[in-house]
Amino acid sequence: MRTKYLLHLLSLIGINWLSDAMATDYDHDIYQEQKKLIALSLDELNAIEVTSVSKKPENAAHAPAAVFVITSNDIKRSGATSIPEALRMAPGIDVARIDANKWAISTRGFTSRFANKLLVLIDGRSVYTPFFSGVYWDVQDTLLEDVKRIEVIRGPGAALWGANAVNGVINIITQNATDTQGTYMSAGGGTKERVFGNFRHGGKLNADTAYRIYAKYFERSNNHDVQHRPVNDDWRMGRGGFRIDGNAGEANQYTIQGDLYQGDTGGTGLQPDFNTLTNHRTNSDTQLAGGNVLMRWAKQLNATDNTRLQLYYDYAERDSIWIRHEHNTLDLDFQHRLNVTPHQEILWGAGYRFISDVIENSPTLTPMPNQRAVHLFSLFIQDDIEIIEDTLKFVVGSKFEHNDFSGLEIQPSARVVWTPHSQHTFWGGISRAVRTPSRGERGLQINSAFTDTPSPQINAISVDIGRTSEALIAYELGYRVTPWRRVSIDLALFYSDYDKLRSLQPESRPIDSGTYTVVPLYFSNNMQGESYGAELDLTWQATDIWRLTGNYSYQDQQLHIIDGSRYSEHEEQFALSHKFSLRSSLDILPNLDWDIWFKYAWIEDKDKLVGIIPAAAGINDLLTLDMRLAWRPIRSVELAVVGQNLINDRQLEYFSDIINNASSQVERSVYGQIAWRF
Amino acid sequence: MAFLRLLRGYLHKTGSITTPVAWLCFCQLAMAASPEQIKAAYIYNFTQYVSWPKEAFANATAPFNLCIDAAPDFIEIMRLTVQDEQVNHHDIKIHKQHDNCHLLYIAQGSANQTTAYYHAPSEHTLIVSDIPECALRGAMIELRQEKTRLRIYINRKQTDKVGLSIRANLLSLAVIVDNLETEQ
Repeated sequence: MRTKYLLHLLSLIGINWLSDAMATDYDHDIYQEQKKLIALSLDELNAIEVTSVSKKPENAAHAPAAVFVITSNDIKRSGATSIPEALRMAPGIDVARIDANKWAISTRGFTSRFANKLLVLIDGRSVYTPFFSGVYWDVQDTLLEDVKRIEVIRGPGAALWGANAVNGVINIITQNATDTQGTYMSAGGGTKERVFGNFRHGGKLNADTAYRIYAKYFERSNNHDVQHRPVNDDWRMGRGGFRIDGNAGEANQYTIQGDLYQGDTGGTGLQPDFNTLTNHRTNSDTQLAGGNVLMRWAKQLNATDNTRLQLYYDYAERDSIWIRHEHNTLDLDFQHRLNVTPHQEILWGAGYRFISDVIENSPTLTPMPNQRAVHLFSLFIQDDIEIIEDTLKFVVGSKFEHNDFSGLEIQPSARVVWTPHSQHTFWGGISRAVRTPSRGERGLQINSAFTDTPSPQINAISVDIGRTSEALIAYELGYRVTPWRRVSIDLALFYSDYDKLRSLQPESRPIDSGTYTVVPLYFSNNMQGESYGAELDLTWQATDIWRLTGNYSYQDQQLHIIDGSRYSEHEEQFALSHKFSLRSSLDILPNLDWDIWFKYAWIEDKDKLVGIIPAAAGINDLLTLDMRLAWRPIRSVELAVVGQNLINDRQLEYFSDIINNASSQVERSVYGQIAWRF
Repeated sequence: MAFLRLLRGYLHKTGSITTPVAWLCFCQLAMAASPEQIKAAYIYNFTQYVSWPKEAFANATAPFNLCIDAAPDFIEIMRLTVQDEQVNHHDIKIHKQHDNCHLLYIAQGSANQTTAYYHAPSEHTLIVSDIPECALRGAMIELRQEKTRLRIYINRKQTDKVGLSIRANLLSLAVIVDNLETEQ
């Protein structure tokens, strides 16, 4: 008993080499593994996959990348009502709410509404819009109750995911239909969440096939701007969908899923009037509609090898006075995993994507041409080589893509994972990633009237037939440790070297058209830079009923223009320098949950930023507190009250970017919800 | 109606699609472990999320008797899992017998599996097993591997009979099977 106590004490203070001498290696490793398993919450334990492979199992702690998983329980307990708000839980992710219906999300710098260096997938379907290679977050939504988890990978995931996964990948995964059986209904309302309702029913078509159907609707109120004027940013959205999961025999599994949505979002923007040379503050609603259908077939070839085939179609349209845009995407993707030896696994795949879109002319936007179709071919290969069993592993791979604009792009990556002890994991990697030119950067004219220049002027931002992609070489290092049972710490460091970043250049001569001057500008790739930083996150299961999660991220960025570029697209430089988040999850009673979420973020050198863009002066340091209290009077019913942004009455998180959109302040709000599960 | 649906679902195989992209992600995000390790972790969790009445313990320092009827390898994993752990300040002790247990785990393949829980269960014993469909035949919690996941089936009528109550977070994770006495 004494020896055991001493062993435990030693391992508590991290001296495991000594305790190793007193127990067999095998026993000790199993001891560590089991202690980690029992430190998980029930939900997490329930999500673990059973391996039948005899070698020691892999887990997320051995991933050679900066990974953070937002679980279904995290989403529920945080009170987040949308995917962008849920993403705030991850370290290293910048989420700035532009107004009530728009967000700017990126990671490791380069936050802007049109942030284009982050790949976002929902159940394997890429949700970026080819127009600007970014994400319209107002239409990325699903029933949050049925989200299984959100994997947030900071750093280039290019070797596997492909181009546009330059700074990271966000992978939103919904539950299998077999795990969402029964009925779920919820409804609620509040000050900003004016009203919302959600419904899902899951059942079985037959012994081997499960399905679910869902529908949701919400209306969200408008915010106010820095002058306390109401902004026209209220919005409403209705959405529905289905999912079917089944198997055809032991080795074959398939999924079919689809969604449809329709809604409208308000916006306030500046409409240039070229007669009076003023910009009118205009309210206009954008009509949104779209849908998708996805099919996936997975086949288990033997104990270790499998293949997967996926096909999806996605349609989306947006209609407002600023832009009328619709696009179609068709994507076919195949992957094959095979174990060539017990210590080497190869994963390879091929894909084809077809995108066609139509963009109509508007006073501010003239796309050239109006209609375009692109074909994208890709191939990737990745080799996992275990050099020393369970201790040292190399992962090397590359993605090869051919697109209509920049031709062939090669994105190699090399990573290493070293686990000298079951409690410690070190990883490192070097990768290259590219962001291919978006539709908007290859054929577009944006007109805006400016009156703050000495003579009347119109800046017409027009086309460069830019066939060059932005490129990045990223160097990353990470360390994960579970120093004590119930505590885990994850640290990631990165240094990114950017080349050929998008810049805005003037043509050599402005064009005098009589009453005003037209200054033609064009997008080109004359900017380079570096960004670097660190991300730290800590999870502590303090007691059986109390869990604390904290994270801190730091990033800095230096961008330089190579030659005379008038605007260097300042919003590219806008990145929150420090971010801190602390979440407390307490089960006061078995049927009473209390969650508190505190966030603080601030920019260093804000004065320098304000010198370039006066509008940035309105940005406050982000200081928020969210709280959720949930009560289950009976097992199937839950009542919840959520308060958001409780500290400051209102704050500005973002300012207008290149497409003349007014931002509004994020305000204090509260909502109540009742949910019924049976 | 709902009960029949549950029963049907319980008795038939359920399909489970591998998570869409994660298992192909090069970072191997799906945490995985061997079935024995996960079962041991669950058994430990049952000791934490089920409430035994005071009468179940002779006094405040009496140990929590965790009885494991299984292969020696599994008993070893169980021993390492509960090492230095407690249930409400009661040290956990592992035994091989079937008597005087707070939690009795009967593994598939154990010599006693056919007779183990058909007799009236002793007071305050939580009977757990991985024998298929045992939750319909007298066991209280069944651990069942379905493709790549381990599922929990709980028979609350049985746990009620012996004065045990189950915490809501464990219940919400499990498939609840109301008792269906079968002829034996």
